[in-house]
Amino acid sequence: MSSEEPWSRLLWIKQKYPDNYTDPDFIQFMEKMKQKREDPSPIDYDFDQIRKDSLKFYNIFLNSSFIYIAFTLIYYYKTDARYITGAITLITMLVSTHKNKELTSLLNLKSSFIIIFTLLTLSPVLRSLSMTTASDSIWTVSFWINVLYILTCATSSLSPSPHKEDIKKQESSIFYDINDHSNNKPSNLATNLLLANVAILASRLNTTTDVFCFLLIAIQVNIILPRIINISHIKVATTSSMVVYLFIGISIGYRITLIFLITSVSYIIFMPKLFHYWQVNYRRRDYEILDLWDPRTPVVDVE
Amino acid sequence: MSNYIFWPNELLRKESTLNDEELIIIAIKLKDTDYVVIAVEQISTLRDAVELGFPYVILGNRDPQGNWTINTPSFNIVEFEVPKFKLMQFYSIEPISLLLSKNTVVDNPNLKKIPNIEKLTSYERYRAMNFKLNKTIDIINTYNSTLNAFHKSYPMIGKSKENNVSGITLLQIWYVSTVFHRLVCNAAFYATFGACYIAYYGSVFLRNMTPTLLRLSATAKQIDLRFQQICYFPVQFMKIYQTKVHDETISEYSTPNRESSTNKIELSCKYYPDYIRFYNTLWLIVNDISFGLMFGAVLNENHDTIVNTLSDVIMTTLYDKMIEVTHILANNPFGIKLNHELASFLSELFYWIMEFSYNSLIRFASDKSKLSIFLTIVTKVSCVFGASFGISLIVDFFSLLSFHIYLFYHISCKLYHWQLNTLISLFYLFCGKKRNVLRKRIDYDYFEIDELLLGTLLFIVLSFLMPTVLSFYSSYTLLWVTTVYISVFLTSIIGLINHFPLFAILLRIKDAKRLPGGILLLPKYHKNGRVILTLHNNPLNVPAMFSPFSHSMGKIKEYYFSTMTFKNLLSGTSIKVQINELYDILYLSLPEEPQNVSQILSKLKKGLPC
Repeated sequence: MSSEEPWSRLLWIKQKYPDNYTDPDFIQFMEKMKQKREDPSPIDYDFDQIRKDSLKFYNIFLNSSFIYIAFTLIYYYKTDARYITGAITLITMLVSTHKNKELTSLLNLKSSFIIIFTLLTLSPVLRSLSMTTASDSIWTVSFWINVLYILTCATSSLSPSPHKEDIKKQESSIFYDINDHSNNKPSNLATNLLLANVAILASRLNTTTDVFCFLLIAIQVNIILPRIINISHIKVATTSSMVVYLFIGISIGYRITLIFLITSVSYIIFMPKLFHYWQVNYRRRDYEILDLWDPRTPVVDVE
Repeated sequence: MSNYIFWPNELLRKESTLNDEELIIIAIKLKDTDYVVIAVEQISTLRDAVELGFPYVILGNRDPQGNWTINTPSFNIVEFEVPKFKLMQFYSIEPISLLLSKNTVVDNPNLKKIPNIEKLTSYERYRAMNFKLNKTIDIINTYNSTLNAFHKSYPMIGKSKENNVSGITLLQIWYVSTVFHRLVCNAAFYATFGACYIAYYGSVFLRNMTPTLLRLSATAKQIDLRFQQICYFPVQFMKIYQTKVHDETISEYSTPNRESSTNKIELSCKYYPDYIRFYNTLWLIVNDISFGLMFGAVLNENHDTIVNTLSDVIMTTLYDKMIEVTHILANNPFGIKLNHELASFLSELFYWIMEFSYNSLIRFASDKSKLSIFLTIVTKVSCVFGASFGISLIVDFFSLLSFHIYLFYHISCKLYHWQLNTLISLFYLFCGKKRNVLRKRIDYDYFEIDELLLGTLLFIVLSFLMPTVLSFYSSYTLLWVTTVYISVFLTSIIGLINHFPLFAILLRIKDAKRLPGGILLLPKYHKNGRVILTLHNNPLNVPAMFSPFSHSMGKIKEYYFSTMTFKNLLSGTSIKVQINELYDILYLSLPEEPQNVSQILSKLKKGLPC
């Protein structure tokens, strides 16, 4: 009975086969590998997928720049943070009432209470935290954390490519299905890096209210909203692009905005093509036996 | 397998004097031993004698021309010098141990059996089945008593050595019979009796009533050690006394019931290290007191200078400098910008502790009249009880005075340790991981946004506060480690005074044969194409003599100068002066529990002359 169980290529499972057992399929498998190595079949890379991924990367970039927009508004332009927070909160509320009743469930209520009280408690602490540190070092730290954030966010959301039907389904609506947890959650590390960046920036602000408002804005714009709405949707992407370029235009000047615009447009148009070309022509294909082994390390219980 | 014939040098000399006569060789051979030659006699002496019984055999003979015939087919001759047992010379295959091994059956009847070790020893390969050499060495060690026994059984063969009774011995015998001797013995016995009782109850009191004091104070530990030594003296004395009794009984036995007698000889060899330990301890105590007299004299001579300097040093190093360090830490040390709120809070806390310890301790300690009283006490104690007591008083005084540094260190260490651990856990959370307690590894996990937010904000707050805590921790650790090293240095001096193998070294210089560290067989010359071997004593080497002390030094190194210490410092694990551990080595030459004196003394009383 048990001997009829097929042998599997997993080290940490106790199997009824001897240690030096060699599967009869092994030779066939090796032959297949050899054939593949000698004469690799051309793989059809999905250009559409590449294009979407690069767009997604662009959107993440845009989204992260909202932190800096909010920060500049509060820190440099001395805008009253309460108005911005109110506006953003209103948008979030509208979007989530539009979305689903489930979101206002008890669990989310609890979680949002925790968030608010944590922010209220820690805002004064954060404000006085980096008093003795120079502003320039804070800007540097923030910049590098942001770079890390974009990279981790991109790698974590791009690598497990979903099935084509899912993509098509997602494309059709601005909003994610709240029950679908497959794709819309970024990794913990990315979220944490974002929070760290926000916290470090917030420690520069002058009043506790500002700190609290800034944290709330950043959490809503960068964490809660991307979970509800599909930032890759064309409407959302256009809106955020417009907001970002408008802000850059107003604050820095139209020439620089123009340079930014040209760079990003060329990135959106040419980058996917270049990448697709590289994949088709230059990408090395490995056929290794070890690829079939599960890379996870087995855990041996040691008493 | 060829037989070995052990041939004493004195018989070789005897043989060379009887050049032109026909000789026979008589040897002793027990069940599991080699031949040991005990007599070379003219053949005429044996003519009247009855047959030789077990264990004695006629090994061979020599014709008048000087040619030997040995009755054994294959043999090797080993020559040896007869050890003078009265002078406590003997051969030993194993180096004698200067420590009291805690696992000997005599001291610890409830010997713990380790199953793995038992399994290993029962394995055939690790079992030496041939104890021939050990038993032969035992015969050689008791060669003279064996010879006496032989002469008693066969009085007609040869003559036992005549005991030349010298004048001194006669005087001794006369002295033993006087009343004066009895008085001295009784006085000595009751003095010992009193000392042992005081020591026993003192030790019991120290161990049961104040175990904490014993753990913390070097002086209490030193007093306990001395009490233990005094309690153990009668036991050691009894053991040495027993061996002398055995020595006499061996010469009396006539029937060659070898088994029991060998056991007795083995006992005497076994208790020989006790002799060394006994006199070593006595010597060390005398030595300690003489050092103490010197130390006390030096202290007494420079009393005023020492008091003045000490008062200044205590005031500056333990109070003024501490205030200065804390002040620097509170105000951006070396231009490093610390978190001002936390730094000022911590420095306030440390100022407060400092003021408290100043008002309660340092003010009195730096007061010159009080310091003078303390120094007088140290001087007197070291003169009366020994330098080790004086130094241990100083160690205690120092550890009391540096208590506030310990408090600083302890507080900052706890803070640092706590913060470091929290930071590490929060860092796992930061990376989206979590400790899996069941699997003992770090696993990926998905956290909710509120958990992440709380964790990350705390992580940011703690990592911003970390440099402040770290700077406080590192500076106070440096101070504390310095004080620990000073204490350890003083304690190791006490250890040196308490445990220097003085007697063993003197023995080694005086007569290396009394300190056997093994045997050595060397080829001597060829005789008829045969190699003659000689048996030599391999004296105990110097590292082995110092092994207790080097063991102690190794422990100090392990605790205070190893990478482990450094790792502990980095991870914020508390470091303390392990007086207990350092003293452990001193107890190695003593039994674990204080000996029950009354039983031993009653046994000792039997030995009194009446």
